[in-house]
Amino acid sequence: MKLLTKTTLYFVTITLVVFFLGGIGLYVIMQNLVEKEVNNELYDRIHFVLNEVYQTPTLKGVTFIASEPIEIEKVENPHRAPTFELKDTVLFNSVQRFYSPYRRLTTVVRSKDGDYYRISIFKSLIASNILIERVALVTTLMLLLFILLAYFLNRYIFGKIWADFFDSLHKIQEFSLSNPQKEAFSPSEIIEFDELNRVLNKMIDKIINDYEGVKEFTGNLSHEVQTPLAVIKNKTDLLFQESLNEEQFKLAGSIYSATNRLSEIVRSLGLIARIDKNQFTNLTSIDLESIIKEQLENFDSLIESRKIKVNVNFENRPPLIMDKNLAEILINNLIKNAVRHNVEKGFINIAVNGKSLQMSNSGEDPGIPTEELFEQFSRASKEGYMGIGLAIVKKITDYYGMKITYEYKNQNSEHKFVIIFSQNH
Amino acid sequence: MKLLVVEDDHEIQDSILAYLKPEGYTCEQAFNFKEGLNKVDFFNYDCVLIDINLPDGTGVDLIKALKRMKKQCGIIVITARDAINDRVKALEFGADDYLVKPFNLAELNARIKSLIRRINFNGESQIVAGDVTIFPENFKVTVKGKPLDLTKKEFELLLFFASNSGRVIAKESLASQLWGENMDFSYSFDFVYAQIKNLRKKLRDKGAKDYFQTIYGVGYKFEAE
Repeated sequence: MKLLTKTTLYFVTITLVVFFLGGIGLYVIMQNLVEKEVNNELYDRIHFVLNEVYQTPTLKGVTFIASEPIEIEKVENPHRAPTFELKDTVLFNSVQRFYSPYRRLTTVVRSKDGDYYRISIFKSLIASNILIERVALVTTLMLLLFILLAYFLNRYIFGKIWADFFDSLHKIQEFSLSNPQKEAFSPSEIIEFDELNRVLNKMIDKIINDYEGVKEFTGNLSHEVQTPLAVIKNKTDLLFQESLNEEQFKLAGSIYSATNRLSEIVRSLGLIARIDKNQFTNLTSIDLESIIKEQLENFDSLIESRKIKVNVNFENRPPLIMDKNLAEILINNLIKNAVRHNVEKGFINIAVNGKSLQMSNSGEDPGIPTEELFEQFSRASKEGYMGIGLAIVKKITDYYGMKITYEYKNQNSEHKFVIIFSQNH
Repeated sequence: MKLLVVEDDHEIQDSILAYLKPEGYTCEQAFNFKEGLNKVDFFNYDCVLIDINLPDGTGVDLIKALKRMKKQCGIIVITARDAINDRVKALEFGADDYLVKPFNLAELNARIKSLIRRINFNGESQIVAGDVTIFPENFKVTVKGKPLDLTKKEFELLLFFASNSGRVIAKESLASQLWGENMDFSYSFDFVYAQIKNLRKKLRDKGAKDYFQTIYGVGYKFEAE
């Protein structure tokens, strides 16, 4: 959920609850006030009536003229002190032909002639009801207006305040180690964001530094190690020429093999470091078909000896701009992988169209999760092979913004690599 | 046959010297650019081996100097694996061949021989190993005068063995000889064995003696008496 949505949601929920409760409270208070007012008026008026009654000798045939109805009715002696009784009721308005709400105050009074009369006076509640309704309506409208205003104000202020934050966020999202352009975070008026930017700047500096350091180290290492490796190799070569016995030959042979493997690892690491350092900048238009054919030729005898069927289907030439060396290394590693992990009488299918390269080969289940396959040094077979070749493939495809996927189909034991060349290459 | 090795690493220098000694060359050493320049100025060599990275200059400058002096010698440069530009530059300025560090001595030996053949025999050379005669420039092989049909890889293998006659050659060297620097070794050995088996059979079928000897755990030795 977005920060703005979340705040707005909280804001609206809380305001609605508060306003709802406040509205109920307001209504109750208003109701109370109006009722008191009506009651007071009724009591006031009934006292005038009573005064009149006390001064009038008899109530027979007396009519009070008032703005609101008065009912006088003769009753039996109630034998008790006069009480006042308040009640809500409705009266039929014969002119407008509808029932309208009234409040009635009833009491029993003894006239001068000794008769008891029940006197009821009425007060119309229409006006006060309308008042309450209006007040409620106006209040509600005001509140709605307030919520609306607060909502937009909230959005506006939110946008203003968090602008720096989103700016920083955007810059972090843009940041990429393969192209570590240092994005300076702009200073913010808000102390917290300013602090955040400062920390981010520091962090990114450190990340870039560390990354450069690691790249530098790998590059230097792979370079510096070559000479001592060459020495070991050469000396072992010389040792082979001595008259060694079988056991000694075996020992020397092991040294030689290990040195060669080490040399191969270091070479691959050096290659990856060089790609990282952007040292392959000799961009040319790549004739993928001829590179594939050339590289396949390298493996001709291997392919032949294992009776592997190779099928190349070249639809049309993808518009590839790459360093030719890297293109060759890419194809070489893919084919090498396809030959190495193949089976006797297996197959290699290569299909190229304008957008993608697909290479599939028969072979056993690699037995490791797909996503680990491209990781440096993941082991993929029993022969102790380190999968740095595929790490190189991944590095090169990443470098040129291509997408590579791998899947293993169990039903026909097929390994399939697909490289999708991006639009701008 | 006079050779000059310009290389700053003493260990590598000594190894090269030790390996090439049985070939009967006169080998001289130079450990830096200045020394190398002085030597090529004073003496004539048949072949000069130059490391591109020297402490006080580059091998490319040395090649330029050799060309300026109009010296008629073969030039092989040794470059680091990642210095493709150096390699191209060296070849542009007149180097005849290049080797990539770390190289194996059998390969160096074969390259030197091939270069010397090219310079001295103008493509008319032949290598005789017992009953077998190899014509490197024409990719032809005869056994006791009768032509022998070999595949390209088999031919390369035989030439490599013959150039390193009497040496024990590791299977790794053979693999890299057959597939170049991009081949991982461990996997291709089976195929090295298969190639050598075929080669031996073809030679035997034509009546040649078996000059191959398997060195267990290392590789092979080819030795014609």
